[in-house]
Amino acid sequence: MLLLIGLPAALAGLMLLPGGRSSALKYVPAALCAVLFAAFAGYLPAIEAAPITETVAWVPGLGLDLVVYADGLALLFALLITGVGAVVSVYAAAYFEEDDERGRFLTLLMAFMAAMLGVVLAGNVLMLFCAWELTSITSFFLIGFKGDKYEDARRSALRALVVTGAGGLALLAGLVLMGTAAGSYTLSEVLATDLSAHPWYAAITVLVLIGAFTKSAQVPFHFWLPGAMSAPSPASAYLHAATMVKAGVYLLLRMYPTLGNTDLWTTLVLGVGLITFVWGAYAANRQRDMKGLLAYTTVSALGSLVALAGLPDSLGIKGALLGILAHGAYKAALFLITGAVEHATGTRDLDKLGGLRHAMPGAFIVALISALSMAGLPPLLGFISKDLLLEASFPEPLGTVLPFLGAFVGSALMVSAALTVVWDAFIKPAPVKSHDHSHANDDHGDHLHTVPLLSAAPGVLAAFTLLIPLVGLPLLQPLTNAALGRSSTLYLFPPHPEPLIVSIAALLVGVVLMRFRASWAGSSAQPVTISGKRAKAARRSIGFPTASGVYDRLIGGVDRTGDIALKLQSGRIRYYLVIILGALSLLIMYLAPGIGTVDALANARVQLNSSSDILKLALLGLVVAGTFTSIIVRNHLVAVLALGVAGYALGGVFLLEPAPDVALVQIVVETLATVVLMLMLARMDTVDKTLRTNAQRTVWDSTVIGRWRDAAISIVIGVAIGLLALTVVVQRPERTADEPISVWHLVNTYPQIKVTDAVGAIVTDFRGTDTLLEIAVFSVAALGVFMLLRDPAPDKSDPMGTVEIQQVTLKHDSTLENPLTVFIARLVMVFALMIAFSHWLYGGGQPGDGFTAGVIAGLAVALNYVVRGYARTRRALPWVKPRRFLMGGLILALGNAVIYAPLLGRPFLGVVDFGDAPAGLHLSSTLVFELAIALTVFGAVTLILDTISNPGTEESEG
Amino acid sequence: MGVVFALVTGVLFGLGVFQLLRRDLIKSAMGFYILFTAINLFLLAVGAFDGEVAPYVEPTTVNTLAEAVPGGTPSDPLVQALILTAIVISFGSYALLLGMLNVIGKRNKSLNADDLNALKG
Repeated sequence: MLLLIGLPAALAGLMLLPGGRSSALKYVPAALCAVLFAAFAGYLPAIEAAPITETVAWVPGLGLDLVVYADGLALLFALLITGVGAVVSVYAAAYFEEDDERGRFLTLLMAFMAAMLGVVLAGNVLMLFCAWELTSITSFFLIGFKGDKYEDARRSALRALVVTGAGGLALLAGLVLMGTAAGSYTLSEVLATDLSAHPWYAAITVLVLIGAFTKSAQVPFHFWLPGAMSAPSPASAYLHAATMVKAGVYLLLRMYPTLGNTDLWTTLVLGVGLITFVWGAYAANRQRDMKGLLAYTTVSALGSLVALAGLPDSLGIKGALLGILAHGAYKAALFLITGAVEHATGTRDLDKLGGLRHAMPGAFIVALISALSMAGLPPLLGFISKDLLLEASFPEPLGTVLPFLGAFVGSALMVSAALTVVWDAFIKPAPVKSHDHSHANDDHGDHLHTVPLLSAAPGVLAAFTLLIPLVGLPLLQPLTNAALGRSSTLYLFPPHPEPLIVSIAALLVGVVLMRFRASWAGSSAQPVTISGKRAKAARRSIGFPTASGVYDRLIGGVDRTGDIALKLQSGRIRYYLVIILGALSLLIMYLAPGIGTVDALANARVQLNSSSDILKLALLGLVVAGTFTSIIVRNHLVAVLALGVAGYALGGVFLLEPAPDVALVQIVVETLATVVLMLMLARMDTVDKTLRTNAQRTVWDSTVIGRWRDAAISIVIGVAIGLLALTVVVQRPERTADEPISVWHLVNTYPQIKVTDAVGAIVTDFRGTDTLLEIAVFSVAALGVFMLLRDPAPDKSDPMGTVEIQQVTLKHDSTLENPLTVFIARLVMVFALMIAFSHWLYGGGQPGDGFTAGVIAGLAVALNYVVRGYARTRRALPWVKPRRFLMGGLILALGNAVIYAPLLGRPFLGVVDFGDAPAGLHLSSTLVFELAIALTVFGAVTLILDTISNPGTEESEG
Repeated sequence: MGVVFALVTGVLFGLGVFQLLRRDLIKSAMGFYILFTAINLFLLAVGAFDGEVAPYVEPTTVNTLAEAVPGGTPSDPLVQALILTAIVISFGSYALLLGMLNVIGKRNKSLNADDLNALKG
C-alpha cells in the first residue's frame, strides 16, 4: 500500500524528465489514477474485517516510521482522491492546450495526489503532518500556476500558504503534544487512547482544531479559499473542492475517538462549522463570479461537514461521510463545468453569461444534476447527505435548537446559490454583448470553442451523483460500514418523515430566496481575487474588520518592518561584526558573575613539573608574541612571517605535550599556510599593486574611539573565553573518578587495529567517519578555491561586474631558476615522495600518517612552482593532476569504507586485517584508508597551489 | 600546565577578535587563523589527563591503561585526534577565505572592509 502512495510521486518525478511532458503521454496520469482506484477498491473486503497496517522503519532514533494505517475512513478518502483524480486528470489533459503547461500541471497534480494519499493513509501522526504540509506546498504551486502572468495568482497562493502553513504549525504542536500525552506517535495507538481527561487536552484540541480549520477554510480562516480560485479550474475542482480542503474534515473524523465527544470539542467544532455553513452560503449568493460563488458554497459545505464532525456521540459521522462523497462528486463536477464554460466563452461572470443550455447541452445536464444535488433535491446523492445533516441536528438529543436553525438556514441559502449558478449561466437569456468589455473568445453562441471531453469528464461524476442513490447504495454500504466501524443502513428516504418535511421546507424557502436574490443579497463589490484598491474600498464599505483585512494588515506590517530593518543595514561588514561581538561582550559582562565559579578558580595553580614545562612556557610566550606582532605591523609579509613563528612555536608546544602526531601536522600545515598566503598575496599584487598597500595603510587609521572600542570588545571576549577555558580545565574530573573514553581508546588500539599509535587509530578507525568527512570538507574547500580563481577571463554574468578583470600574470623571478635550484627541487621532490611513502606505510607506529604524507608531497610540488614557474612545472611534473588525485582519493576512501560490508559483514569503515607483511609492514584496510587520505590531501593541496600560481593563460589540467 | 594553556587561549582569542575587526581584510583573515589556533590550544588543554609520554601503546593485547602504556601517563589521544581534524579543516577554510579575498579585491578594487557595501540594503 506504501507503493500505491509512492506511484504518483514517482510519476511526478518521471514527468520532470525531458520528454515526460509530451502530449503523447497526457493520459498516463489518468490511467494511473484509475489503476490506483481499482487497487484501493480491492482492499475493501480486507479492511471491512480489520484495519491494515504496514510499517517500514524510517528514522528509528526519533520513533519515526513510515506506517500505513488503512481503515474504512482512510479507504473512503483514498477512493475519493483517486476517483476524482482520474476524472480531473482526463479533464486536465484536454483543458490545457500547450504541452508545457499541461505537463507542469499534471506533474503538480500527481505530486499533490501522492501527498494527499499520504495524509489519509499515514499511520504515524508525524508522517501525517509531513504529508499535510506537502499538500499545502503543492497547493501553493497550483494556486500560483498562472503566477508568472498575474499578480493576483501570486498573492492568493502566498495567502493560502501562509494561512494553511500557520495552521500546519499549530497542528504540529498539537500532534507533538498529543503524541507525548498518548505515549506514542503511531496512529493506531493514539486512536486507542482517550485523551479527554488528560491535563493537556484543551491545548491539544485547540491546536489540532486550528490546523483542521485553516485547512478546511472555516471562519475566520476561510478567506484564503475564494482567493485560491485563481488556480486553473481542474485544480480548483480537485484540491479546493474534492480533496485537500477535506483534509481538515478528515483530521476531525480521524481524531474523533481520541479528542472528540467532549463539551469543548462540540462547542468549538459545531459552532465554527455552523457559522461557516451559514456565512459561506450567504456570501455565495452575493458572488457574481461563477467560481467565486462555487468557492463560497464550498466553504459552506465544509462548514456543514465540520459541524457534523462536532456533534456528540458520533451522531453526525455517517452524514459527514456521505457529505464528503456527495460534495466531492457534485462540486468537482461544477468546477469542471465552470472551467469548460470559461474555456468556451472566455468569461465566468454570471452577468455576462446566459443561455448556454443550447450551446453546451452536455455541460448543462451535468451542471443541472450537480447543482440539484448541491441543493439537496431527491433522489440525488446530495439529498441523502443533506437529509442526514438535518436529521442529526434535530434538537431532541442535543437539547438546543441552534444547530437545527443553522442547518435549516444554511440549507435554504445553499439551495438558492445552487439554483443561481444553473439559472444564470445556462437558462436565463444571454445578455446583450457590449463589445467594449468583450473578451477575446467571447463570441456568439454558435462559434463557441467547445471541447466535448470537458463536459464528458465531469459527466462521470454527475452519473455517480445520480446513480448511486437509485441503484448503487448497496455498493456504498460496505464502505460506509467500514468507515463507521459499525453497520448502519443507508437509505434514500429516511424511515421517519420529519427530516423529509424539513428538507422540503428548506428547499421551498431556498427557491423563494433565489427568486428574490437581487433584493436581499445584492452583489458583492469584493472581487474573488484581492487586488489593490478595489479590495481596500470593499473593506471600507463593510466597515468592520474582516479576517482577510486583518491578514492583509499583518502581511503589510511585516513588509514595512522589513523595509525599516533594511534601512538599518549599512552594508559595512565590519560594523556588523562590531555590533554582534559588542552585543556579545555586553551580554558577557552582564552575566559575568555567573561565569567561572570563584571557588573553582581558587584551585587553579600553575605547577611546573619538569624542564619541559618551562620550555612550554617559553614557547607559549613566543606564540603570543608572534601573534601580537602580526597585529601591530603594517606590512602583510611581516605579519605572515610573525604568524608563522607563532604557528611553529605552537608546534613545539604540541611536541612537548607530548603529542608528536599533532606537532608534525601543525608544522607541515603551518608551512603550507604560510606558502599559500604568500602566493595569494603575490597573486593580489599582480592585479593591482595599490590594493594591498592601501589596505595596509588603514591599520592604524581608525579613530581613537574606534580603536579603544575594538580593544575593549576584544578584551572582554578574550577574558570571557579565558575564564571559560580555565573553568573547564580546573573542574576537569579526576581520571580515576570517571574513566574517560581515551583510556578505552588506548587499551583497544593494538588489540583491535593492530597499530601502536593511538592517535592514528582514533583518526582512521575509532573516529574514522570524522576523518572521511574531514577530507571531504578539505576537498570542497580546495575545489572552492579552484572555482573562485580558475577563470581569469571577465565573467559576463558577473552581477557586480563593473570592473573588468585584468589578465592575471604571476611574475616568475627567472633568477631563481638555474641548474642548481632545479636540481635541488628535483631532489626534494624525490625525498619528499620517499618521506610521504614512509609516513603512509609506517604511520601506524610513528608520527605521521596519510595526511602528512599528502601535505609533504604537496609542499615539494610547491617548491617546484616557486623555483621553476608554473608552465615549466606543469611540463616537468605531468603526473600531477590535482583533480584526478582528489577524486580518486575520495572514491577510494568511500569504496574502502563500504566494500567490506557486503563481502565480510563488516560495519561501515570497519577495520579488516590482512595480516603481517615483510619489512615490518602490517596490511589492513586502515592502510588503504590512509592511502586514500594521502591521495585526497595531495590532490587538494596541489589543486590549491596550482590554482593560485596559474597565470591563467593555459588550461590547468590536461 | 592546563591553567597556562587556558590563559593563553583567552589571550589569543582576544588578539584574534581584535585582528578580525581590522579594516584591512587580509588582517581580518589572519584574525580567523589566530582564532583557529586558539581553539586548538583550548582543545589540548581540556585533554583528560596531563601526559608524560606520547600516546603510543605496546604491541600486545592488554587490559589496562598501565599495561598499554607502561612508560608513564600518556597524553590524551582523543583531543589530539580532534585537533588534527581541526587543523586540517581550518587550513581549508583559510585557503578558501583567501581565495575569496582575491576575488573581492579584483571586483571592488579595494581590500578595505569599509569600501565594500554590497550588503547595503
